[in-house]
Amino acid sequence: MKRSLVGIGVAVALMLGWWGSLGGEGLAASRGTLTIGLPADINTLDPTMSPEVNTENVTFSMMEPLLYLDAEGTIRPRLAESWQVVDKATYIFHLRRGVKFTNGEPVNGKAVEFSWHRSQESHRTNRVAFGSISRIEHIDDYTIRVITDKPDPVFLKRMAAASASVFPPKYTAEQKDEGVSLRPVGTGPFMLSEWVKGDHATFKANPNYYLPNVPKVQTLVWRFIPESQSRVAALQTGQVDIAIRIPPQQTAALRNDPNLRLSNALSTRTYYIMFNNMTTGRGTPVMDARVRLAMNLGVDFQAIIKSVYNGEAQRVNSIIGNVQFGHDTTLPPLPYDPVRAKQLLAEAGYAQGFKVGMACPSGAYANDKEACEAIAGYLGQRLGIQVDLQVMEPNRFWDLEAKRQLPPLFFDGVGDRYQDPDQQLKGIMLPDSKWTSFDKPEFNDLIVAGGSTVDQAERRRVYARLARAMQADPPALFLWQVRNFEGVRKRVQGYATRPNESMSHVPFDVGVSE
Amino acid sequence: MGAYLLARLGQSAVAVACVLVLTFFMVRLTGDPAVVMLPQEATAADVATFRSAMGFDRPLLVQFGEFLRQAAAGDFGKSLQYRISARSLIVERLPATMELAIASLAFAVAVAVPLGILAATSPASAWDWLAQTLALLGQALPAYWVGLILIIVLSVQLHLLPVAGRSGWPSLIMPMVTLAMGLLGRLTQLSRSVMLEVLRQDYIRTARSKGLGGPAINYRHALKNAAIPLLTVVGVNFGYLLGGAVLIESVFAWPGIGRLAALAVFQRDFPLVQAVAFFSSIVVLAVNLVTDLLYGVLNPLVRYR
Repeated sequence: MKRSLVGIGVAVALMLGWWGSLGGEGLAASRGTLTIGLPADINTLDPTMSPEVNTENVTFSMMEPLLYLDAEGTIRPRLAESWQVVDKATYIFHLRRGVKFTNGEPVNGKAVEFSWHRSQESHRTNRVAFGSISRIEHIDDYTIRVITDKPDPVFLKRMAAASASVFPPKYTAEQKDEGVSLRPVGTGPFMLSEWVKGDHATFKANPNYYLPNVPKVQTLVWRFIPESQSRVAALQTGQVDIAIRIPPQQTAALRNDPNLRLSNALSTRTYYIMFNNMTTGRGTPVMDARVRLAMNLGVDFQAIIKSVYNGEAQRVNSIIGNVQFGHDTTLPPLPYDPVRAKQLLAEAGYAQGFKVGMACPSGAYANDKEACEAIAGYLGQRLGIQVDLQVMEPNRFWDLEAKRQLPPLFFDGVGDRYQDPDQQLKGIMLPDSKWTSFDKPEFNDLIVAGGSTVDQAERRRVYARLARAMQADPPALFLWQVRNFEGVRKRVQGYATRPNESMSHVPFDVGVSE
Repeated sequence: MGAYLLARLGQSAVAVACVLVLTFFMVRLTGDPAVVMLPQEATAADVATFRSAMGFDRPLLVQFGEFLRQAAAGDFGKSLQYRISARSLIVERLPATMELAIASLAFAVAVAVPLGILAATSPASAWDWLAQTLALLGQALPAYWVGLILIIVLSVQLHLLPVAGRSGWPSLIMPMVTLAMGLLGRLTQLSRSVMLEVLRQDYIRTARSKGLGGPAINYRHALKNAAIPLLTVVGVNFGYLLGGAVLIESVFAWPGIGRLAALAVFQRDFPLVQAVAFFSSIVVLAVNLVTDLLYGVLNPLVRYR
């Protein structure tokens, strides 16, 4: 590949001194125990082996990548103290010196090269994150060069994910996959004490951690409590200090408890009702852009947010959500305008409405079925569109979705770890993804353009155009982003909910008062 | 007796083999594991690479042959999600479920049988009323709801017991009571009616006329005959207890195989589902065999052929 060393220049991010700002909690280092109630079991402690967010959060206790994403989604140094974007496809990382794994092996260029080659092995689920990398090489003990096969705007953010963690080569090779899955070794603020599967994973503070005043607690416990009511009860009784994923209807009980506070953030997950123009929608009225627009205008989504989500959700203007990079704040969501909707339907020749199938998972997301029923109700009453609502068990639903066998309309949500729409859009809008059911070349070109340059200003312009193009010819009913609630005991200090469900800040920032 | 045991063990082996074959094909109807294992941004090419690396793309019969070869050696392969041996996962988590199931069984028997006897020996008393109410509620109340109510009262309001996890006997109490509710109801009802029946028999009148006291008659003479139908119910219900554990383990975050199995099905972790099916069927068959053997202990007239 011929690299063009265009004058993007050398963007050197030296963020020394940033860590100093973290120690301002007034806590003595490493005191007490922090317990967090998670909504799901984890299957592995090897972050390359599961894309699941709880696994990522638990493994961040002891595993570290070169970079770190802060609450705003900005890239910060971690095992790398600085990095350079040499050109559109070449990156150089400079490692922090003198860091050791908790088993004594040194962190060096060879370890990074070993780890990232390991992450690229084809039996690892998170290999996808390394898909754009064509070469990884260590120049010396503290310098690593990475070349991507094409410009990848989310590359650096992906290198801040747990799956890009650095593993000690000797230990990791000895332990093989099975040993690493059970007891990996890293450089993080904590070391594994025990993992009782289905019950809890306990970590103790790493006494040799390289940052001052980190960690703030001596013991960190992740407790797996799948049932939300039990998780709330565990929080109320003090068995856990933080309970995540609290359903909106259970927040009322927590508001009045003097020992608790509610923490929340608008989630990066964007909800939509996608149309199908590739398989089941062919030959149906949804092929007509006027019909799809009319359906967007004919539903009072704001009223549904109020009734189904207690008002704790925000409408989106397209598939690009409000907390994502590239969100166009000047573009309002499509309005509720049933008169115009009726006109559009009449123009399309469906003044009397029509009959159409719509699928909805039940229990995959908070209040998914209720939201679908409300939307189907509006479409029927306001526009005369009789919706044959098919409520399904989530796994069956996703299986049919991946096979493009769902009806012409279906409800789903797309998550986003990096607060950047690139992967969301590629995952559900490009025709080579298994989740895509609506194909339009104009959208595809814009999505590819937004994902093929590292010029962030240019990307903003591309996504703004894309959002407008989507409003003109909607591939989906654009719904909302929902507020995630977490319950926190007041003894917990320094915790805030993040939009992308990440808890990567917990091992560093969060402490407890006795 | 020896021949009977051999025959029963032979039958059990056939039953386990059927369970294994059925499970192998049924779990594969749930869909492609690669779809649920890979992140959403995985492209079709990523899925194909992963499927080939994991061996999902091999013909079904080839996979079945390998499965049979491994299973014959007691090896169920590696869990797709945990990436460690499925057998070791079961060995790690079966004790928690057995502890819960056996404690529930013991609790149900310890409460239901004496209560049933009290109710039968003093009809229309407060005991009788209590037994009939418990029999009704035990069978009618959904276990899930009972579990949550217990949590709210005993943990949140009274701070007596921990909500979640397995950490010593206090954490066992609520899941044990919740899981036992259904069996407790059925057993109370049954022991009451069976005892009523037995107490009307001639030999009880004879015993009474010999001057034997209430406890000797109730517990030595009458209960021994009443025990056979009770034992049948207990034996049959042990399987139900294991099934019920799936739900109860979720409510109380109990780290048993019920939750492991449910998650394995959702995550399409085929080797793990197969291993759970194997071990659960072994447990159920063993309990049934022990139940049948106990009939002989309770009733010397029973002969094993």
